[in-house]
Amino acid sequence: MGFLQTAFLFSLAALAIPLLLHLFSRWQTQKIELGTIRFLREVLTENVHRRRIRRWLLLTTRMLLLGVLALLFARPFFFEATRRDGDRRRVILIDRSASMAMRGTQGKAIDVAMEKAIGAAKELGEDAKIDWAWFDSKVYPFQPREGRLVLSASDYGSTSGNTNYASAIAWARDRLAEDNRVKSDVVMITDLQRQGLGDPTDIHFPPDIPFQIIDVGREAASNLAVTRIDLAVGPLEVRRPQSPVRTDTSGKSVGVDRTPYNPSVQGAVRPEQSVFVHTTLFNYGPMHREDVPLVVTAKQGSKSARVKTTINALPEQATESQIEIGRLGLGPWEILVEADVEDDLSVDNRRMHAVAVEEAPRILLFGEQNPEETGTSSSFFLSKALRQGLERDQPRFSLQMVSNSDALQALSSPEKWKTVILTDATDIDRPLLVSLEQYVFQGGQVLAFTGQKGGAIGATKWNGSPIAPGRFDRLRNAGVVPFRLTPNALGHSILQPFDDPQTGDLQRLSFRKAIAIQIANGAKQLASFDSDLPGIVEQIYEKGRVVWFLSDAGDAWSSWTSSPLYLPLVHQMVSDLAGLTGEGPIRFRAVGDARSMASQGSKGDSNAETLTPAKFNASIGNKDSELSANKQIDSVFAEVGFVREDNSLYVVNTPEVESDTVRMTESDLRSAFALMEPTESSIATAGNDIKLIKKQELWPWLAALMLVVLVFEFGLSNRTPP
Amino acid sequence: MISTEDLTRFSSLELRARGIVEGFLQGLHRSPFVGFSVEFSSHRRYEPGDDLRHVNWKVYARQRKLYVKEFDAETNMNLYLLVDNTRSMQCKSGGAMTKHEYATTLAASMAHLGLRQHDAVALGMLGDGVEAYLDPSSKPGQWDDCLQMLSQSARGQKTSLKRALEQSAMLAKHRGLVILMSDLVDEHDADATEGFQRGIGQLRHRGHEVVVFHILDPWERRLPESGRCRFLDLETPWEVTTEIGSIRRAYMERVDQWCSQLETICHDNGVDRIELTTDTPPGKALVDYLVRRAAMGGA
Repeated sequence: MGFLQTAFLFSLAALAIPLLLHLFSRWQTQKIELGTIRFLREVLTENVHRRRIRRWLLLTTRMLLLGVLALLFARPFFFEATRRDGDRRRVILIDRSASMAMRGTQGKAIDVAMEKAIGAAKELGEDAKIDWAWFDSKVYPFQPREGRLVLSASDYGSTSGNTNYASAIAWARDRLAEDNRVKSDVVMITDLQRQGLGDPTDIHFPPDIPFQIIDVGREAASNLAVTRIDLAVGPLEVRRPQSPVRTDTSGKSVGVDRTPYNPSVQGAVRPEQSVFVHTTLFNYGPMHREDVPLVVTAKQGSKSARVKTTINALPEQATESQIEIGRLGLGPWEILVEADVEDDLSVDNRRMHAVAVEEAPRILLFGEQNPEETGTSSSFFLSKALRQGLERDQPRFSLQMVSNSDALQALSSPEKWKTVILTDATDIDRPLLVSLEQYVFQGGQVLAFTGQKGGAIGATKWNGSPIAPGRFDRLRNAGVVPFRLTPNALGHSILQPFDDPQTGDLQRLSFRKAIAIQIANGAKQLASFDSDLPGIVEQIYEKGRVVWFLSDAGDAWSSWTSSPLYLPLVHQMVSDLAGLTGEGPIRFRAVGDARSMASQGSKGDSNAETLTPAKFNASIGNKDSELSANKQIDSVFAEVGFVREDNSLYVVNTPEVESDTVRMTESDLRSAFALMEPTESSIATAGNDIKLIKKQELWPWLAALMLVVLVFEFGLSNRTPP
Repeated sequence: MISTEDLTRFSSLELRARGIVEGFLQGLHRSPFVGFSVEFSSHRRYEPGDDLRHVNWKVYARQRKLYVKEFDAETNMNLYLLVDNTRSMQCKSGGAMTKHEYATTLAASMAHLGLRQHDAVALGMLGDGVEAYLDPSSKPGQWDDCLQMLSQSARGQKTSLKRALEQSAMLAKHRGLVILMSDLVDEHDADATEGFQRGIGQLRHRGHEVVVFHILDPWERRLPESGRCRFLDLETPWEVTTEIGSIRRAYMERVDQWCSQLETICHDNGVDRIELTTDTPPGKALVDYLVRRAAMGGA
């Protein structure tokens, strides 16, 4: 017998409440005076034996009542041995990582794995439930064609991911946890690639469930792999990504060495720069390979450039080479590096990369004509900062300065000027304001500092403008304690590098004055002065955007120009407006990485994924219950190649770890995840005598019994004196 | 010195007693106390056992037949009223009045009735013994004296029927009719009937005719139907808490047994026992008894 709600057994304590109420009610007695209670006492004395029996009976009845009540809530049930369809359950996991494409004596490992899987399914008979899944770094559940246990090459899609046993075993664990009443086991068919072990610490696979491992890998493999490509704009010099920090679609920071396939060049390459491809070739085999042909192809539409070289690959070592492909025209270029060699694993003989060739964004700065003369104005500090190249001598922006008086003539469309910077927004005239509104309306980006010249009175001309941050108020003096800049919108692309105070604490920037505003509806406050006055405000108007910094850009109201944070903050604001932040148009992914949500929503526009398990499932008309699995497959990149989605070019490669074909033993995998070795009796095959359980709950009987006991107790308690 | 409370009780008692007696006499033309009067009523044939003193020898001389004389009523009879004045008589659980009030009402009524026909009425208040006693008298102020004694509140004493009845027997020097009004509860008596039996025996031994009005509270006779009750003994510190439903039947059987024992004792001693509960109107109880006594032929 078992209990469905064991926790209710602890609720017995609450049953003391009615008992106490019952006892309390017994104290409520009617007082009666009699001439003598002699006869009453005689009667009670005569009945003492009978009453004692009744009291014990009453006590027993009440204890029985409590016990029945507790059992009722605990919902006991009897096990009943029955047999039913699906009572035996097997999870079959088939490895479809890139290494499974290697050929063995019986053919490709993936083909052998499919045969083994079908054999494992047929062992169970027709009434067993089988959960099928491919796995590499992710798990892709599927169901074979209805009524047919046949798998073919079109079913698994491609073999290009890296192995991750932990995710596969965790998935099997979760599926088996859905129904622990059936006799279950797991069959995993894999090549036992060691690099797939990952981190087994948090899996906790049930130790009582048999786990069969069928090894279909080859004993030894010879593999040569292009494991890394870096792009550089000079010979033998690898460029590393620098600030402004780029983020991927989820907003996470993309580190310098996030993954081996992450390129060194993250920003755009200028047309005048010569591009070098820095390649790492790893020879995993024991043999020395001489004169391995290495072909680099850069392609943009019908245009292409091809460079070929040879390389000597030492055994079990990495060999690096650098190939110059010269200057490239404007636009994105797909770059393919391929080692023209025959080995056991061909998928890693080639690796993809891409680069965007672009001019530096043109920035128009309104301010003083000759800021160098004063050396203290806002224009001076801003121009100095923006002309400062973060990446060696190469400035990030193409900056042009005009005075406010010439600004009206200089200002044109957003196509020409990516960003306009107003060093003193309170000092502009009305016609320029109208032109700025038109510019922003068309998609222009403006960075506006309120400046010190016009002050609060000059700022009032902005009141009512759709690109103003709100209603300008008076100039506020900080007094003895200066204003501190406090970020309010953590995670915003402008403030993202300063999220961690250890890398850039904006509160170290102090200001003596600021112009107060009543922030407009729709405007977003990114930072404030002392959590009180708006400091940085983002106002979006039609296609364009204005970022307001509500103090001076120079050193008139602050000494922030001498702070180490001045340059990064100004660059980050301008870069964000110029579209240089974020992940950019070239995005790098590994097989198994998540696709962006936008691409999932507009999958019809995508030309990605020619053959995937998802398409297979869709073609065979899976049930609704499998839709979630299909969505899971759709949500990742399943194949290597170039994918154009969301106006971006995704470069999808196989993780380099998959190229390491070193194997482990079955016991290594079993001990790493504490997997139970199956025995003849433990395997849920058709021939085994399987006694499965079925619940028969007892609560209706207990409820009836409790009712009877309750009535009996009521009658007995009314006839039993204390 | 009579207290204000007693005076109020006195007035109430007098009114009650007068009402009962007047109402009773309106329906009767003869005294219910037939037997000891000297007023001639009629002749009847002599039957063996008749007292030869009542034979009319003049009629025998004329007719050679034996006739005995019958008298309508005997006057100047000694009427001894004994009222239980113990704490147990203060019980008023299920009735309209306490047992003591009930007993005094009956006693006052009978005293009034007796004095109207010139009987000598004596009154004794019983407790542990005879607490107060009024010698028999038929003088006009006797009823007031009786009422005053009856009006005094009950003493807080335990009952000792044996001693009280023995003392009453000694005080009642002349034969007469002794009417005992009591609940017959005797806490000194382990047997609950022995003291009563001896006391009654003493009275009968001195030639008194004895009538016992056994007065009980309704809940003493039959407990409430159900419920959980705490019972307090009026004469002892005992108390019992119990569920009535479980012992009611046994209790009633036990009280029935006790009453049967008392009835047997009374019967054996030639004593009339009239069982009353305080929810019976005293007037009705009195009339019922007197009518029954008259129907029995009035000894």
